[in-house]
Amino acid sequence: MRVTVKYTVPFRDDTGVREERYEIGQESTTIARVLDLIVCRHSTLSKFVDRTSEEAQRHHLVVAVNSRLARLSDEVHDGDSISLLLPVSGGYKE
Amino acid sequence: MIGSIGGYAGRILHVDLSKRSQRVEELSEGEARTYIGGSGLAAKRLWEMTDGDTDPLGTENVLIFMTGPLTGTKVLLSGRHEVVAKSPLTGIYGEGDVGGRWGTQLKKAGFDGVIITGKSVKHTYLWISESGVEFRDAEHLWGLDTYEASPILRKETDQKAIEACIGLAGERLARIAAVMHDGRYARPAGRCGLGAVMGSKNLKAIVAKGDKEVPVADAKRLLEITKRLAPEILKNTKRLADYGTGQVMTTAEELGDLPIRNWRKGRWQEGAEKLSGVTMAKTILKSKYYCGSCIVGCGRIVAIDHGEYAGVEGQGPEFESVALLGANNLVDDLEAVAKAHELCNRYGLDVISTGAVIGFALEAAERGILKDDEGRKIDLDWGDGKAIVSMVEKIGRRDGIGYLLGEGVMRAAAKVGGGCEAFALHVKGLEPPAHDPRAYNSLSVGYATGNRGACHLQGMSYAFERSVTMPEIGINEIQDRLGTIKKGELVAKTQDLMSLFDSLKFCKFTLYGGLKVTDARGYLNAVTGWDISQAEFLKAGERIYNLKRMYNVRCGITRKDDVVPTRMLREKRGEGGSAENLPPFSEMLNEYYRYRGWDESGVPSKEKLHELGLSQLVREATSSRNKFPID
Repeated sequence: MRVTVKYTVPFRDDTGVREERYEIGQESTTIARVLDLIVCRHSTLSKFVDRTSEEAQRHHLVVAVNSRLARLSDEVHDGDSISLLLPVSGGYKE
Repeated sequence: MIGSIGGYAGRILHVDLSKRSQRVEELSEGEARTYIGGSGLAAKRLWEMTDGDTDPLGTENVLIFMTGPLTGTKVLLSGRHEVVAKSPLTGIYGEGDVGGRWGTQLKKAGFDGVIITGKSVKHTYLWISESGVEFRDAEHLWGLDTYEASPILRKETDQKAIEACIGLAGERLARIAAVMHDGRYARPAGRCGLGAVMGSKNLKAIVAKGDKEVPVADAKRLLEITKRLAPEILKNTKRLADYGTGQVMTTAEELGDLPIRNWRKGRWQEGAEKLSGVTMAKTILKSKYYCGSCIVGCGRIVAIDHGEYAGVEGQGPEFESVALLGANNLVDDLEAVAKAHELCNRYGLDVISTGAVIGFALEAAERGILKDDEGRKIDLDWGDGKAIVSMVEKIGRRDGIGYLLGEGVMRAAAKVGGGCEAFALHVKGLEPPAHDPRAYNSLSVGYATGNRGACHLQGMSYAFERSVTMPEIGINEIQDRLGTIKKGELVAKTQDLMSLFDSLKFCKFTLYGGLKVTDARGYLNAVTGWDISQAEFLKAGERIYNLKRMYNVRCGITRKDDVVPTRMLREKRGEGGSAENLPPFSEMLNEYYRYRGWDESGVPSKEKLHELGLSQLVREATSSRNKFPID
């Protein structure tokens, strides 16, 4: 399947692009897995990823799928648009 | 210190401007423990000293500045105070939660609060120090903006003093005027028109300075909590420190939360990026500002040294500024927004109400309803940064159409007529901040039942629909923002919690830092030496929220007033992250009333008042004022 990932500021500073496609060899996957793929491609984004818990993750980075807030365990399907967003606080993983 | 209790100075200063007299009230431990301080204690005094008949701009209104027990201590993110009065904008309970350092100076001068009554014959300012209070002539300051007045006030008192001050908007009684603090660092008591209350008393400023140590009962315990929390807060608020509150612009736009074109549009991606805190950090940001005892520093200090807006220097736009002065009016020029924001600071205007009332005027002009005094079309177009800056000038100075807009959208719409009430967004007269109930369902109930009108900070329930949990009050998971289950309960719980924060005088961003109820209570117990249980602690928050509601009931507020602007309930955004959602408001409001123990008309039941220890207070008001629908 194919999903589009959109990078708002400041994530674009790490990726250098506004958006990009990801080809995933499954019919569906999870947000957590997509975050892994993103970090594989852009290692400097790892500072925004904290999968200790849902709340811990949202201290650092909010993920929206088709403009709806998504949890780490939520499924992603072919054609979905995924946005990486800053939360109000915007934490930082050590 | 009240006996051996830490945190409190134990003294409240009463100043009668009519008589130019002063007295000191000793604060009792029982009252402090029941109403905590800040917002709670000020609400209690407002209840006692005013009623439904009080004219907000009359001599009989009171203006209260109140610190909390944590103010001036080393408790993290606690250097705040509350400003409270009957609001000239809404006619009900009015308050502003203020950061900065003024509250710390007042506490260190030996006072928990200052209560201003009466009206001075001459323009006056107050100088409060450990020696007491002096009445000072302010004729030479009247007409100056807050940035201009600040250095003069400090030169005349103490260079390390901090002032609460009004600008022209407050002097000229604009109902959206703010009380500003700390000169160019500009920390506002923004909402509810409290600057006009100050202006109505011919009071230009209150300058405070003190060096007394605020007593703490158990400094070791306080330090232990701080050592545990500080790394967590720093870690969790790193981006807030880097980019300020404006960083959330792009998120708000993506989720359909951002006010765009007077709350009509759903998307504005490029504009949101141009105004975001990230863009600000790369362009006009010069440094950060820290309120008293803050370790985060979300405050923005900006400077523009060339171009059309050269000369802007000082506190920079917050999220509410870029959202309402900018996005709501389709202005994507960050420097123009920074200029408009600075003018709000200088004139002493609430940025939220100012941005909102300009958005209202733009729509009215677009529809051909709003015209100037000679019946000509108003020269005001969406996206025109220069025009927005010019309009802020007019509102601040109360020139021409600016006079009308300075009255807020409710009164402006009533005056203009022509059906424009339909797009004059407010609740009980207060314009909504930059969060949309169509993006976070709970906000509809929060806005409707906010004790000062449409307010996101009285509950902050939307934070729990986005990224925060609080298991100690039963919020175990992040809530679905577009869900409807138990949203009334969520709003009530978070309103009570925020009442505690506003009374202790915690910064609400501690929520994002990871602070929990047990931490807040631990801090209070460490500072005071009390051993308050979790149940007593939470009950105090509920008591304070209900007391404010009873104040509003005394002003005639019932369910008929607990409403949400029609646009937010009936008109879909049509695009973006909340394209199709309309909050099912009535069902959630019913559930809210039931959870709160309020009757169907929105009045707290006798049983609830008894449970909260408010029965006697209400009975006394009933017998003395005879205008209260209880008993």
